[in-house]
Amino acid sequence: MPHNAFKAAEVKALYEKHGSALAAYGCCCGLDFGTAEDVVQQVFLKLLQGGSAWPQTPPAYLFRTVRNAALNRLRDIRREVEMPEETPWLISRDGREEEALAVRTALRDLPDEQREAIFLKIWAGMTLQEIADLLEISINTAASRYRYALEKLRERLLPQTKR
Amino acid sequence: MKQEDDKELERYLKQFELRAARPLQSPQASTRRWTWQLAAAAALVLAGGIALWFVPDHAGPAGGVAVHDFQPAKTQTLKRVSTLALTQVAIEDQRTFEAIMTSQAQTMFPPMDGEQSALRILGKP
Repeated sequence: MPHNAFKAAEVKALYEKHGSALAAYGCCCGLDFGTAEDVVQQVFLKLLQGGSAWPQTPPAYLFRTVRNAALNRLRDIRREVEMPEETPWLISRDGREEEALAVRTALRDLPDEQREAIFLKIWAGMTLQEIADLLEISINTAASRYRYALEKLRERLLPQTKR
Repeated sequence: MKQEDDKELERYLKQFELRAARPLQSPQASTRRWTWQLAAAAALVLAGGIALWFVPDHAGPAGGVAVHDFQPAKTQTLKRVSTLALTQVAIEDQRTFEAIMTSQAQTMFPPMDGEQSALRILGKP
């Protein structure tokens, strides 16, 4: 199998596995869903075209690259960090739209770094060590951000979680 | 107890799913689309150029008058003198310039005194 074809297959497999989480991560960084998708597509296209060296740990590289690209894009469009609701990135598959909205609102109201920590742990499936490496912080800081985020979410979502 | 609460909250949050991102666009597809657009633009320009080239030769007479069966009484090869050469002659030799212009006027248009002249055809009721 040619080297490039192998890489293309790998890139596509990575997109299948992490594409949605990366787009949602872009939303957590403040982009709307469509712009976050564009950012993710550009990152993967660059990989496909060989514009970037093949990363040693692709998931960590992808999350870091999408984060940087999302923050750059935010600076470009000079918009306040927020998670618009036009196209929600977090959805309910079983019709609990009101609850999904409540969760999104609670997440939106978290401080940026706590929202990032909770997203990476719950929806991107990262360990606290991986989060610490990605954000270049200590594991204790990652753990405390995650813990604070959980506490705030619990206060906001307590009635729903006990149903 | 608190750890159990944390786990319960985590389980609750995980019930909500991430919206699926659109499929990855392949670079070949985007290149292919770009090539098609370029080819279409080139074809349009070419068609426009060809149309401009032929329109004067096939255009009907002004005013919408159709002249059928018109044949010039005498087909002559049109000899065009370049504008630069004409300018030079006009500056240097006025008489030659007049002669060239007269000659051009006679050869650029079909004679109008023949049996098939445009003037005669247009003048017929």
